[in-house]
Formats: sequence, structure tokens, C-alpha cells
Amino acid sequence: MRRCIIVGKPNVGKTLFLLALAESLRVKNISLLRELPDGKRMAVSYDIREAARHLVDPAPHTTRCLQSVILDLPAGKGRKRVEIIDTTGLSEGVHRDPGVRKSMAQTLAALQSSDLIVHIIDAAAAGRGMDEPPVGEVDQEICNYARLRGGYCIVANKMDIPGADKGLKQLVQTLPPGVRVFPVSALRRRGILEVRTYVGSQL
Amino acid sequence: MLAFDPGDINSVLAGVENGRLTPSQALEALRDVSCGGAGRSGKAVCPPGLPPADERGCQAAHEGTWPLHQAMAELDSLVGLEKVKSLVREIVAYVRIQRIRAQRLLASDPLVLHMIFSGNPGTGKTTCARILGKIFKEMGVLEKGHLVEVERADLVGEYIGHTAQKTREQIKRAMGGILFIDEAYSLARGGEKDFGKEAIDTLVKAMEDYKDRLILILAGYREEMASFIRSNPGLRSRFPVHIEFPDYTIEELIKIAQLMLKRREYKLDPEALFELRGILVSKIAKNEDNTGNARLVRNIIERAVRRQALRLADKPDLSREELMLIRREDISEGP
Ligand SMILES: Nc1nc2c(ncn2[C@@H]2O[C@H](COP(=O)(O)OP(=O)(O)OP(=O)(O)O)[C@@H](O)[C@H]2O)c(=O)[nH]1
Ligand SMILES: [Mg+2]
Repeated sequence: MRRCIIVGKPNVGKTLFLLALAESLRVKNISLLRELPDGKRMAVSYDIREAARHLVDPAPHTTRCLQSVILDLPAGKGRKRVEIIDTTGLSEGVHRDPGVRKSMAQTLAALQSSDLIVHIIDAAAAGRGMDEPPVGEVDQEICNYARLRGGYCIVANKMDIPGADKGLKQLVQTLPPGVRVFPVSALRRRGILEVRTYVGSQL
Repeated sequence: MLAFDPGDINSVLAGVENGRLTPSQALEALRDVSCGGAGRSGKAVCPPGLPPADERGCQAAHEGTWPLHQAMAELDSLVGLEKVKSLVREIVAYVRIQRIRAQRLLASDPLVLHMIFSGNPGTGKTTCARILGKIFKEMGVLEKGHLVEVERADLVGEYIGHTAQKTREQIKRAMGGILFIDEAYSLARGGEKDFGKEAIDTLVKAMEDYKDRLILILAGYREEMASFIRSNPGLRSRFPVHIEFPDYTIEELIKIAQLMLKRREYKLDPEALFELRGILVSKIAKNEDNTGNARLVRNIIERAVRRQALRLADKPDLSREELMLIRREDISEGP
């Protein structure tokens, strides 16, 4: 099965995006397979309407493991079964919590073996920064890395927040040519379909 | 000793886990690994499941990366300097092709990128050097790509041996980046007995000892640089890249002024623009010092900002427009 990985900085909305993607396919009960940094695996499942309450939080590093869901994406006339993996956010600098560092190493390892990379950037935060590049080093390096691998797109999330359009504009201006960017609001369920179609076509 | 083996994925991941590598650094190392050694680390390891580096166009490991793209965009955003820009583009293309040739085991020239920048002060030499540093860093030509800007006094000492020591210190600071020597011709000023000669010799030796770790840029007025190179024939072949920085035209100077003001959230009213153009025309006609360079414009603009403040200081109820507008009376030629 082909693997699509969701990466980005902490708190950009990776988990909520995964849930929104599942919801767009009318998943009622979401079953997640968790793989902890120490290699332990477990399965959890939630009513899709409840899942965000358990898995999404305003604090960074809510997710500290790989959690994946298997979805049947519409592709052409039929459907394609793919694994979508939510990950621990990659932060700037060296994180002081060894547990978080271990989880980030796990993200990087999973990145190496994935077929498609969906890179989420918080467009509202990008628009807020007065400093020139709208995104920091981690986002730049994710982009540099992922571009070489082929199968890569950026999701500019939180477009519902005022000022995010400015962030999106700055982002698009500074990006190297040829990178697909999808404006999305995971919260308001906007732009999800476009990303879904792209993922389906790439895998 | 490196904190990790850049060619080995597990060692990179372990580096993140034990805090010796930031996620960004790890991604950079993984980028090199996935590219079969096209990057800085030079090791040919291909992760399982990926086609060979060549098929993925991985020679371009550092081409088109985000920061490189940004540095090129920064260069493009400079006013004028069209020749300089196209020359930089040529150098970038040359470096890339030499790399690919080396990878395909074709004969490739060793990269010698020491340069001579000639032109008047304020024509963009330092700015360009700084951007070149970023570009070379992103292409993997230089490790750090920072710019160390020095002049004669930073290199030349007062007694025998002092000069070599001072020069070596600056070389050390510039290691992995660019050593930019402004008014470099002044090193040859005092003739044979002058310590400047010792500085030149030390520099030449460093260029050989640290071939891959240092780029030297000699900068200065056009005529002076030309005669400096003529009188030191050995230098010509060591500095294969010559870039000339022409004076800015009046239109370019005005563009620079408007850009400076825009960044500071000011603007010129049409009368002020007219006045500015008048000053520039007369300065250039008189061929005074500083003409055709950005510093002249910067001075006029800075003075205008101060004079506008003075003009507005006692006025009540200032509108946003008034606060932004530079008027004719704010523009003046000299202090
Ligand atoms: N306004 C707005 N908020 C969002 C959006 N997407 C996510 N959020 C909020 O951002 C916060 C983080 O969302 P998560 O989905 O937990 O983000 P994450 O990237 O998984 O975060 P970590 O697991 O902590 O790395 C939550 O408070 C979400 O409600 C969006 O599109 N718009
Ligand atoms: Mg999460």
C-alpha cells in the first residue's frame, strides 16, 4: 500500500487535517493505528465527531507518535487504498524534551519511507511574521528535502484566520518554482477536496 | 570530527534523538543522502525503494532549493546591475555544470572563484558579495557563505611578522565564506618595502592552502584595480572572475530612492521627486564625488526624513498622509 505522510511544524493543524480528510470521505468511525517511538503499536478508534476533542489541541506537540489511517481515495473511476500518516511536529532548534526528540526522529524515519509528502504550513502564522521569509528554517528544509523526492505538496492551513491570505501570498512568492500549494482551512473544512484529489492522483 | 556520519541515515536520526542535530540539520543531511551524494556530504548511499540518484535529477541537489531561490530573487531585486546579474547567473551555471561533469566522470575544471570587483563606492559591490556568499553556500561551494569585509588597516601591521599574523587572523574569520577586501589596491601602495606586500603574499598562500574553503574578492576603483593587477602579474590568473560595477543612472538612483522610502513607509510627492532629479542631474553634470552611487541617494533620503520631522514637529493633528509624504522643501543637496 502507498504511504502518504503529513509533516510540518508543531501545531499547524496536521491532526485536524487528517480528520478533515477522513470526514470528507464520510468516515463515521475513525480507526487509527498508532506506532509509538519505542516501536509499540496500538489501535484506537473514535467517532469522527469526537476525534478532534481527543486528538487536537492548541498546545504544541499534542501528537507524539505516528498515527495512521487507511482511506479509500477516489482515483479515476475507482478507488485507491492508501495509508495516511499523521506525525510529530518538527520544531526549530534542539527540543529540550528527549521524548519529543525521539518522536521527531521517528517522523524523519517515516519521511524516508513514504511515497508522498503533504507539508502543512500555518498560513496565518506566516502572515503575522514581520520578518522577511514567511517561514522558518524547518519549513524551508522540509521543502528542500521533499522537492527532491517527488510527490510533494504544501497545504497552507488556517486560511480562515484573518491575515492568512497575506501569509499565503508571501509564501507563494518565496517558494521555489513548481511546488503545489493548496490553501485550506482544516477547521472550516475548506480546500480539503483539492488536496484529496491531488493525493489520489499522485499515488 | 563531525557529530554524525552524514552518509548514514541511522546516525542522522540518532543525532536528532540525542540532541546533537536540529530537525533542520537532519533534513539537510537526509537530503544529501537521498541524493546519492550529490550534496555536500559526498557519500553515495541511496535509500531503499528510490530510483538511482541520476534518474531523479539529483545532480541538482542544491539547485532550486528554497534558500538558493531566495538568494537569486534577492539578487534580482537589486536595482539595475544587469551585467552583474547575468554574470552571476553564468557563474552559477558554470559551477553546476562542472559538478555534474565531475559526477559523470568527465574532465572538470577545478573551481577557482576568486574575484575582482571594480567600480566606485556605493555601486553594490558589497551587497552582491553578500548575496554570492549565500548562493555559494546553498550550492555547497562554501560551507558557511558568510562575508568578512576588511580593508588595508585590518590586514597590514606595524612591524615585520605583524602583517602576516593580522592577515592570517582575518583569513581564519573568513574560513568557509568570502573574504572581501575593499580598496585592495592600497595593499600595493607603499612599494616593495611596504608591509602591504607581505599581506598579499599571505593571502596568495592562503588561497592555495584553503582552495576549497575560501573565496577572495578584491574590490576597488576601476583604474586603481587595473593597475594593481598589472603590477602584480601573478594575481591575474588567480582571480579568474572580473565583475565591473557601473555607476547607477539617474533613473536607477531614483528607483533606489523610492525603494528606500517605501521600505520606511514614506513617499515622495511629485515636486519632491522633481527636486531630487534636479539635484542628481546637477551632481552628475559636475561629476562630483559620490555621483552615480547609492550612498549619495541614501544621504539625501536620510536628510529628507529628518527635515520632514522638523517641518511637522509643531503641527497639531497630523494625518497619515502627511506623516508619509516627503515634500520639495525636505529635499536638500547638502547638510
Ligand atoms: N483557525 C484554525 N485553527 C486550526 C486550523 N487547523 C488547526 N487549527 C487549530 O490549531 C491547533 C493545532 O491543531 P492540531 O491539529 O492539533 O495541530 P498538529 O499540527 O497536529 O499539532 P501537534 O500534534 O501538536 O504537532 C488546534 O487548536 C486547532 O484547533 C484551521 O484551519 N483554522
Ligand atoms: Mg497533532
